[in-house]
Amino acid sequence: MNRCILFTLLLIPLAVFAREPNGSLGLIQSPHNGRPALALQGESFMVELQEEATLQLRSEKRTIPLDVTWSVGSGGNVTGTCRVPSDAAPGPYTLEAATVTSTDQNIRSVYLYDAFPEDYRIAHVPGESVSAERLQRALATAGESGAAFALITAPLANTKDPELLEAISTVLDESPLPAFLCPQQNSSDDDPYAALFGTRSFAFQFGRDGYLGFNAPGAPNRAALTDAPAAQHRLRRFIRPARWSIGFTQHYDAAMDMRSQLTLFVDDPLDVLIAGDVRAGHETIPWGSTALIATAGNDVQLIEVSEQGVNEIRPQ
Amino acid sequence: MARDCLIVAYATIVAMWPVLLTIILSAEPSGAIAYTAVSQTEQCVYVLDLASGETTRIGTGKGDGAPRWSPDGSRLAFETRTDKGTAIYVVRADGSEGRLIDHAQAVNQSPRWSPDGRNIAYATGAVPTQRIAVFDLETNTETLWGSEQSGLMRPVWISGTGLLDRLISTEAPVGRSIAQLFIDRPSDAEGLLAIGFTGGAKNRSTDLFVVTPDETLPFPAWALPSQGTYAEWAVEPARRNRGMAFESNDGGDREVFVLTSEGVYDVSNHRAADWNPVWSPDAKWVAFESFRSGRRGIYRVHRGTNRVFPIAVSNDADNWSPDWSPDGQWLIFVSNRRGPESLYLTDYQGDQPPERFVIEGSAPCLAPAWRPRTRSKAARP
Repeated sequence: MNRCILFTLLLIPLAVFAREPNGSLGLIQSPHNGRPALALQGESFMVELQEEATLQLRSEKRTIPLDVTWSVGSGGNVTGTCRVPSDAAPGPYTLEAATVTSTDQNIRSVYLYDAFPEDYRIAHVPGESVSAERLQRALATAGESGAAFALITAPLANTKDPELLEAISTVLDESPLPAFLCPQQNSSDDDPYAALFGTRSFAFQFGRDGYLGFNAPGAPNRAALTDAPAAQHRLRRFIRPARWSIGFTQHYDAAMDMRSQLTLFVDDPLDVLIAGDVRAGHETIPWGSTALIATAGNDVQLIEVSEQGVNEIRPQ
Repeated sequence: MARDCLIVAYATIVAMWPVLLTIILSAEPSGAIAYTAVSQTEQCVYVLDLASGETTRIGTGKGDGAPRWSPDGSRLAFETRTDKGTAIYVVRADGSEGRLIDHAQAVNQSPRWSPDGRNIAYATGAVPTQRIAVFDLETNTETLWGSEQSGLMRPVWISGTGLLDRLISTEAPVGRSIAQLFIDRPSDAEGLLAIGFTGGAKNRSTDLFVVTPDETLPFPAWALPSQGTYAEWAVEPARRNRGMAFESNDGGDREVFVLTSEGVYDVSNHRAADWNPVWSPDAKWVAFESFRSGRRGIYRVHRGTNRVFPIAVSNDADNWSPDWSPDGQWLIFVSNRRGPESLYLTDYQGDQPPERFVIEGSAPCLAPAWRPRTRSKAARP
């Protein structure tokens, strides 16, 4: 009984604090509204926090305490494996965390499913520029299209304006479908983007398919000197068993960091790369195995994923 | 009796003197480390003096790349951002006399000093049509090397050795013996090894090339591990023509190969990727990065036995960019084992827990390069 009271008291402030006051990621580093966790009922998803915390999922109808197994993470963080109860209803959830001294919540950061579809559509949001209003319209279009989730490769991190990124985060809090953000090609871990949406490379699985979002600028950008190439290699291995391995990035060009190209297009080539911009002379990936699906413009691009392949749905 | 003991003791000391000298000299690491420090506002090369712990800013701060020491340890070269693209910046180790090379092309990358310290080779031009250029620091002239072939990058020098003579010879060595390549003898020939693109717009790969002032020649196929199209990368010659190491995906995944007079061998041989070989100064060991423990760790392999030993490996962090001390007893490397990327030091056997350098105000620190032994006072900054 006392434990229940203590738990309730700990969660009272959660409705107040979402991320840090300036919108930066706080106690919960991942998942978040631009990099949500997708999980089946009765299975598990991963979280990364600054320290161990009591976790729960919250929707309009229900609050679900989570059973978490913790382990040491990178950079002083901890990672947790969260078991999803088998009776948890499908849909979007807010992940809430509480420690003795702090609380945090990430809205629409966890999506639960009763089954992943074998055939589905992706909504690809490319573009040469982006605003909160444009992103809101694009996500509305994506939601109406019946897409399972959205991949946003528009150059969000091109802006150094934290207020614009906060506005984008607010739009993502109301997204009608899971949305995955990919940083712009020249962003770095010190950019406002990184503070709000995390590291440059990440991966997730949707059913039998693996997705890898990355940013691989050419030299002398410091990404090539950091742990970024290693992260891409690890993430590529993580999605290796997938039916389709699908990368997504802001754009492809031959000057992309060569270590990244060797990892993603030569040694263990992705099946498909989805890019949000097409550079003249770089309309294909020359290494031979990886198909490029790219679009220039600001329209939402629909892509169909099925046993037959990963293909753009061209407007009739 | 006492006299006999003294004689034996004296003889022992004389016999063991080289070993004792090595132990004395390597008890503490010494010298200087160049590295690239990053902050919210800049990316700049610094030099850390190991004895005093003091750092000296020597870069431009405008996006400096990985620093490369001149053979005599007096100067450094690295790429840096300019209004046009990237240029090679040359500066003395105390930060004085810094200057940008006046390039013909906007993009210039991967500088390497010639063994005599007079020339710097680098890739020039936009990817994928870049070529190899050599800048003569005495005449201030930039010269394109090789034939018209483009797509070349990451040059390393092999000039002044019999290896180059044999690689560019029109006559195959007797019996095409790899051992013939490494018969050491002085040579006046000037040349580079480089990585080059091969294939077309839909079947690109990479391969090793020999680049001289006038020619670009494919590395002889008979001296590579096997026939076929494999993507080579990161070629590194050992000092004094004692071998060369390179990466290849020959065998299915990325491995480190070593070519010596004994043959060409996959020395890292593991199903996880192995990257970025770096020779020890005595050319007995190759340090490399590997994912065999899950995260990126640093290992060393003996070129004769192919035995692999861990140097810096973590379950929950990456370790990378190793560089050897001039005496071969220590390695400097980068790790994120305690948060932001920092420089760490360990003995080459990995017996001691890595020591972290706390460099105030300049973390993360990347791409460390140990200063070579300075051989003359004139070479000191």
